[in-house]
Amino acid sequence: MTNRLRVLRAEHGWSQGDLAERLSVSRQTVNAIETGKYDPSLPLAFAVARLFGMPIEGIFSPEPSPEG
Amino acid sequence: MRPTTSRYTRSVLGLAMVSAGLALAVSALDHWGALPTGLRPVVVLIPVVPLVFFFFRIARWLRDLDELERMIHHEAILVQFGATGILVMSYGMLAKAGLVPDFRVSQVFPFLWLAIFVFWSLGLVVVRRKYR
Repeated sequence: MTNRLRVLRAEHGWSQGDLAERLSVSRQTVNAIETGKYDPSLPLAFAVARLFGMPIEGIFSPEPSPEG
Repeated sequence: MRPTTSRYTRSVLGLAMVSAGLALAVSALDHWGALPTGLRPVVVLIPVVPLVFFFFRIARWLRDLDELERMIHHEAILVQFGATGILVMSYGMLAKAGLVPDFRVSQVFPFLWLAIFVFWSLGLVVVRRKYR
């Protein structure tokens, strides 16, 4: 799975820690999602979508990440 | 508000220490023949009671973790389960073949706990690297 989380976070001027706090997860989780090492649960993906005011498919796409 | 990890750590360590203390006390009383005969099977199992709460506390702690951290712990527990099982089975087969000392269960069970937590910790180190 790939995602636009890093781009969206940068557009809002948030650090990984800021985003982690807004999503009530650890900074490690945000980093692992951004680098494609971890695919979030559905509730977390919905929370991300709600936070950025976008549909889930606008942030996450099913194509495999370059790192596999 | 959910308890922090340090609070969980304190309560889990506290319960483990209570269990260890009770085990030593019961063992000493049994050694001196101070345990009532009829109640002996119940009294020698008293140290297990804090361990029941110990496991509920660990389960609660894991449920309260961030979702990635919880998955890391679950994978680490899988590593610990496999490694402990393989270690115990390998040692048992070597002992059965007379190649290593054949300890009685009552002599080695504290070391089983040690193996569980060592392998859990090693599992955490290995699994965390995957998500760094």
